[in-house]
This record gives sequence, structure tokens and C-alpha cells, in this order.
Amino acid sequence: MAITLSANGRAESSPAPWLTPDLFWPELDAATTSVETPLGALHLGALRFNAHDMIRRAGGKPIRVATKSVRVRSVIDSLLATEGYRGVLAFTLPEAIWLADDIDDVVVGYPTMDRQALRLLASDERLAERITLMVDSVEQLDFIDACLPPNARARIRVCLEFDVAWRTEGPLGTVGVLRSPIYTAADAERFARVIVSRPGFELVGMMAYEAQIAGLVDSVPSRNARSAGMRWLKRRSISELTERRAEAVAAVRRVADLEFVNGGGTGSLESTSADDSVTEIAAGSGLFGGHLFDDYRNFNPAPAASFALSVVRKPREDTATLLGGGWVASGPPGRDRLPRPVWPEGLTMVPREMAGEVQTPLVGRHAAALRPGDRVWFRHTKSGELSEHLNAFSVVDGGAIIDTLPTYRGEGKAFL
Amino acid sequence: MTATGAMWHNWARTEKVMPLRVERPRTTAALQRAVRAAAGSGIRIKAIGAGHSFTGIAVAPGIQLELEDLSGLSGEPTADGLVTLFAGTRLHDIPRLLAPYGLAMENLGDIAAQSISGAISTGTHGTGAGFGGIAGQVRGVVMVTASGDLLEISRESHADLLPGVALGLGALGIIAEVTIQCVPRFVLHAVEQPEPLDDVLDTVLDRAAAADHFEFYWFPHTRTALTKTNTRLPFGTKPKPLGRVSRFVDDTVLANGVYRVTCATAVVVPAIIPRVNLLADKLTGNRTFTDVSHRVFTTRRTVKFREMEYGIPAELVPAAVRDIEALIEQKGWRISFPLEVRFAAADDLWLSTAYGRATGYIAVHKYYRERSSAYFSAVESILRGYGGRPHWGKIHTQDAADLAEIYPHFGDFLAARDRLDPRRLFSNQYLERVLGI
Ligand SMILES: Cc1cc2nc3c(=O)[nH]c(=O)nc-3n(C[C@H](O)[C@H](O)[C@H](O)COP(=O)(O)OP(=O)(O)OC[C@H]3O[C@@H](n4cnc5c(N)ncnc54)[C@H](O)[C@@H]3O)c2cc1C
Repeated sequence: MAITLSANGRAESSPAPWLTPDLFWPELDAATTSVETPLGALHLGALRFNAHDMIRRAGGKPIRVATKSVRVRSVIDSLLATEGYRGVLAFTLPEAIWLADDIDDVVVGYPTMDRQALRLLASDERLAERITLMVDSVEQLDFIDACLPPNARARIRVCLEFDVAWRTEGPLGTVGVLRSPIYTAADAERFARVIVSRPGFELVGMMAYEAQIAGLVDSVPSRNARSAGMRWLKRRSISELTERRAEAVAAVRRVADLEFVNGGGTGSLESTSADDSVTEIAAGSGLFGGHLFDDYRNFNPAPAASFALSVVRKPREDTATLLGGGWVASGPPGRDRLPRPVWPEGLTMVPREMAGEVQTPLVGRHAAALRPGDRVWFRHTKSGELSEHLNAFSVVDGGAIIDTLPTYRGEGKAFL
Repeated sequence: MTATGAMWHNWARTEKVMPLRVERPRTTAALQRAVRAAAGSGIRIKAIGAGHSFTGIAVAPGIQLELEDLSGLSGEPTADGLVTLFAGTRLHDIPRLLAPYGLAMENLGDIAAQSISGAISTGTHGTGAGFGGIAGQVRGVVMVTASGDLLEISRESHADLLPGVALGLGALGIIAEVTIQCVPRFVLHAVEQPEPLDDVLDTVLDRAAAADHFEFYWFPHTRTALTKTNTRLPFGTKPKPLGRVSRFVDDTVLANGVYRVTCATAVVVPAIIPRVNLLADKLTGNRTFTDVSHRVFTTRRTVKFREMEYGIPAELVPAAVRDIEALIEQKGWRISFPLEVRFAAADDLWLSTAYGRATGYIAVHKYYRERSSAYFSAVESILRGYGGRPHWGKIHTQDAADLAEIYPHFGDFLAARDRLDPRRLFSNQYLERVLGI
């Protein structure tokens, strides 16, 4: 099972069917009637659009696929078969080991404390050549040594994570996520020297993930002032970061020959690619096109992934209740992390229940017309977690299911 | 840079579209990335120039490329006057770019708003029985192909494609650079005068042959032709430009001021058109002046109109004009814009309206608010009867089957298209109509 993410055949004259929801969703619905709910659909045209739009936005720098935003093995494989994508950013070491079976460039995006997996990695030359671990402190190096001492193991490739949050003096405080203690060029250089002085480690990369730029919505029509503020903040943060990161990269490069410097996020492909110190960009959530990105200014991903639930009861005439709930995306919990009902149009969740239970009541313009057995389509806020609710995605192209792709979960791989 | 959500329309407001995405690449590499992204996702992509085509030829519902930022000279001109320009360069910027090298474009149309790529892609031409259209000056292009690769086409490399891509309707690839043959700069001596239409029609071929650049306008409902005869003189000849107030026959004929008002009135009261035309006729006197070439060739058009133009064998021009005159008379139509008649030398570009024959152009116009269908289609059938070939950037109703009959190399062009763009990445509805799916 594999799909190809490069179009062949004639170019479409109606470029983006999803821009006409009245046609797009009913067609998706019709194509998948044979599949029971809960069902996940991947629209191949939309996925292609997103995949190639990201390459374009990356401005010529290769994209490292952030697997947590996908969690479908064959989609990852088909991305890597597409020019413009190179390597993956995995989220756990067991996942990385599983992927490294046939992917030769796997960076683990977060420090790991999994002794068993570390021992496996350290005792297998092939795995050790393919996998790079994320580190930001000496303790993590010590932990690895404690699993298997340097003289009894393969050399471990490591990537130094640099913190790119913007620590402002004023009332804003720290803008960005709390990731690494390494904040200045001097910190980075000092830690780099420690790594290269320790036997059994090889410093091959550096990472600086711009959560505050990539992950902030900056163009919400109903919140103009806030959006303008976000854009101001992003601009300031980008200029602060570009300078600090360039210094840090230069400092680390004096110590080690880096194979890659990773920056990124779907929301920041343009600005990250414009930074000369970065050699590759990690991104993933733009691929499935969660609705989070509907409110970004410089790009509009297509709704490649969506899911449908069935109406099972009508507690009131104006309310339709679906079987299935949860489906909440990562990030600071809030309404913007909930899935969004997109078809039929005009449905909203009930304020006192929302989507948190295993059933989800809906009200709104269209709810009265819904009957048990009808289906409602949703889009997920971000991307990868959606795969944790499904065993497989039905791939729809040209109005029909052309393939069924198991998710990590469907393959029995619930990594995190 | 990218933008979305804005409506695009062409100059004449005959076409509009909201593209999925608008891109303004600043480098050839960014242009290539745009094409690759489009190709990879199977979405059509199209460059627009200045949007001055009257047809839907530049309509891009998928990805619309604006090439304004890919503009200017690429390298220095060669000693023999070969000039390479980036695709988005506007014609009105070219004189300034060429001035330091003492060069000029050999001939121009009557406005200079177009991009060099748009102008050559649709066969934009001026007048002059001894000169070809702008595409005839093309000696090479660098094109982004459907795979996103760069293809250089010149007399030295892939020369077999040059007669196709030099006037390629935007159907074969996205042009990144155009090399044109320029000439030492020169001045033009212009003589404009009203003359009896019949005399002009009787002698027009000789006059066109004798002059460097000859053209005339005829206002329906009058018996007068306004002739314009330009003679090329060496640079350095003392210029005698027109003052600001009395610039040009076009100002009165097709462009600004008084005429805009008369047009607007004429829409409301068609009956007064003949009188308006007589007025325009009177307003135009004898004028002679001398100026650098591009200032004589081109004007600024601000009154919006719709235009249809056909190229026919030059010798058939008098007969065709007389047929149109009889048509208007017979139908009792009120026509507010003049006919414009121009000439061009034969060339060898596959889809050139002047392919293989000395050509006379007849253009008809309508104020943009007037409904044009009956007038245009009747004139169109007259001109088709004379073996006419429609201008690719102006209104016409021909389709691929019609066009295959009047272009001997139509099949070669289609073969080149199949080879360069088998997936029809660069197509749109207009191209499907005129070239086939
Ligand atoms: C007021 C006015 C006066 C005119 N006068 C004349 C005249 O005197 N003589 C004459 O012959 N015509 C004339 N025209 C018609 C005009 O010259 C043509 O339609 C011309 O093509 C317009 O150029 P553009 O840059 O606006 O191109 P557009 O209309 O924007 O595009 C035309 C075509 O070129 C393609 N194209 C543009 N850039 C590229 C590229 N980089 N690579 C590949 N394809 C590309 C487009 O895709 C499209 O197919 C006039 C039009 C107007 C509105």
C-alpha cells in the first residue's frame, strides 16, 4: 500500500475542489458510504496540494517530515519519495527504531529516557547510523552512558537543541515554548564542546523549533487587533531569533561539523527558509491541513484529512447526537483545540458538552434535519492526533476510495 | 510572495477570476519552485503579463504568476544588439533600459503597457509593411518547462522549437527570459492627416510599401480616413515633439479627454454617434512632428474598449474595409469607434497572424459598455471570408478546428505542446478552445 504524492495525468482545471464546500463534502461523503463510522478520509488532491505547497514555501530547503503530525507510515513513505522531503523528525525513540527499518535519516525530536530502546540503539550499528537523538544537557549524555558505556556501544549521533523562545524584558515575558536550557550562543558552544569531548557521541546537528512563529494564528477575521498583535510579535521574534540563532550556529560550527541545522514548523516555512543558518525545515501539520491553519495569513492548507461520525439519537428535535467524542488536539486546551463540524454546514457544539464525551450533541441551523444514521464531517484542529482515533484512513481520489492506509494505531503502534 | 483571495480582471474587464493562489517570484529559482509545486499537485499554472489581452488567454483559476519582480535586463546587450530581458519587463521600461546602449526596439504596437512575454506570446504587432511583430524580433527564450526545469531555446539550442515558443500563447511553458534583436535607436518623423477614405483605399498598398510605418483610422459614418505615416530617421535628428496639449491623433481618436465623454454619451444616445464621429473627425488636424521612436509608436489609452482584430492578406484590405462599410450602412448600426488598419511583413512563426504572408490588420472596437456581439460577429465573418487569422489577444470566436485550417504549422505547434506540456499544466479554457484539449 502506497500512494503517490506527485500528480500524474492531466492538471485539474478546477484547481481546488475544497473551496466549494457544497460540492466537496457531499462528494467525499458519497465516496465513503461503504465505510462504517468513525471513519477518516484523506483527500488525495488536497494532500498533494499541501505537500507541494509546503515544498514551495520552504524556498528550496528540504523539509524533514514531523511524523507526529502524520502517524501514517505509508504517507510518511510517500512524502519521502517526493522531491523536497528528506528525513523524518520522530517523536519517540521506539518509533524512530521502527521507522529506521527503511528510513535512513531519523532524528528523534525530544530527549529520550527509554533505557530499553537506548540499549537497542546503542548495540545496533545500523540503527545507530540512522538515528540521531536530541539532547540539551549533560545529564542526558550521562543517562545514555549508563545504559551502555561508550566502549561497549556504537557511536550515538546527537543533535543539540537550541531554545528559540523569545525572552522579553517587559510584560510579555517568555514568548514561545519551554524547551531547552540552551539559550545563548555561548551556552550552545559550551555544550557542543562537552559533547565532542565525550567518547561515544557525535554531534551532527542542531535544532531550533520556532513554536511561537509556527504555531500562532495570525489572521482571525473576528479578532483583527489580536491578529495584528500576533503578526507584530512574530516579526519581532523572527528578527530576534534570526540573529541569535545565526550566532549560535556559527559558534557550534566552530566546534563540530554539523550535517544539518533544523528550524521550522508549518506556520513558519517562509521565515525559517529565509534564515541562512538553517539547512532544513521540520514540518508536518500542514500536510493534513487541520483547521488551525485556516487563520494563517500567508498560506491556506487544504482539508486533506477529515473524519465522519454518525448521528445515533435525537434527544430533542433541534439536536442531533453523534457517537464519538474527544478528538481534541494538542496545545493549550481550549475551544480552538476542538474538532470543527464542517458538513452539513451550520452545526455547532453544545456549550455544556462540547466534544469531550464519547458522544457529541450538535445544534444549529442544520441539526433539526439530521436523522439517526446521517453522518457529520469534522476537521481536526492539528494533525497527527487524529490518527490516534482511527485504525485507517480511506484515501479518496476522483470521487472514489482508491486505497486504505493504516495509521500507526492500526498497525498496533501507539507510541505516545 | 504569495497572496490569495483577490479578484483579478483584465484591462478591458471582459474576464475575471479569483485564482487559488497568486505568486510573485523574484528569482528564476522561485519561479521554478512555483511550477514544480503546481505540477506536483496537478494544478494549472499560468503567468499573466499586464492583463491587456481582451480574451481569456491569461485567465488563471489555479496558480497565477505575476512576474513584475522578474524584470529588467539580464546581462549586457551583445555588440550586435541582442538584448536579454526578464520575462516580466514592461515594454514602457525598455527604452530606459536600452538607452545607455544606444539601442531601441525595432517596432512597437500602439501602447507600451504590455509585458515583453505577454506581447510576444499573443503576437502583438505595430504597423510597417517592412517590419514584423514583436515576436518576430525574438532570438531566444529561457523557459520553465512543465517539470520545472529550465529550457534554453535559441538558434543554437533547440532551434526547432523557436518558431513555436517565440509566439507560444503561454501554452508551452513559463518564459523566464526573452532575447530580442534590437536596433540602433532612431527617431520617427510623423505625419498625420485626414484624407478622403476612397483615395486612401485606392492607394493604400503602395503607400504602405513606400512608408516605413503606415496606418490609418476610419470612422464609420464619415468619408474620411486619418492617416499616419512615420519615417525612420537617424538618432540625433533634431526632434520636434508635440506639445503636451496636442499630443497625437490617438488622443482624439481612441484615447482620452473629449472622446471619453462622447463615448459615454453615445452609449446613452446611439443616434448621435455619427455626429460625434464627425466632430472627432474635425478635431483632428494636419500634424507633423518628430520624436524618439517609442514616443511616436505608443500612446496611453485610458478609455476602456473591446477590440477584435484580424490579419488578412495585405492586398485584400481595401475590399474588406469596403465590405465592412457596406455592412454598417446596411444594418444601420451606430459605431462609435474607428476601424484601425495596419500592415506587417510576413514572418515564419507558426502561430503568427502574419505567417507566410504580407499582412494587413483590421481592428474594430467598441466602447466597453456597449454590447459588441452583432457588430463583431458580422465583421468577423467578413474577415474570415478573406482568410483572416484572429489576433490571439483580441476577441474572436474561432476554435481549434477553424484555426488548424488557416495555420499551416498548427499541427507542429500541437506536437510541441504535447511534448512540452503533455499534462496541460499551462492550459486554461481559452487555450482548450483554440488549441483543443
Ligand atoms: C489598450 C490596448 C492596446 C493594445 N494595442 C495593441 C497593438 O497595438 N497591437 C497588438 O498587437 N496588440 C495590442 N493589444 C493587445 C495586447 O498587446 C496583447 O493582448 C498582449 O498580449 C498583452 O500583453 P500582456 O503583457 O498584457 O499579456 P497578458 O494579456 O497578461 O497575457 C497574454 C498571454 O501571455 C502569456 N504570458 C504572459 N507572461 C508569460 C510568461 N512569462 N511566460 C509564458 N506566457 C506568458 C499569458 O499566459 C497569456 O497567455 C492592445 C491591448 C490593449 C488593452
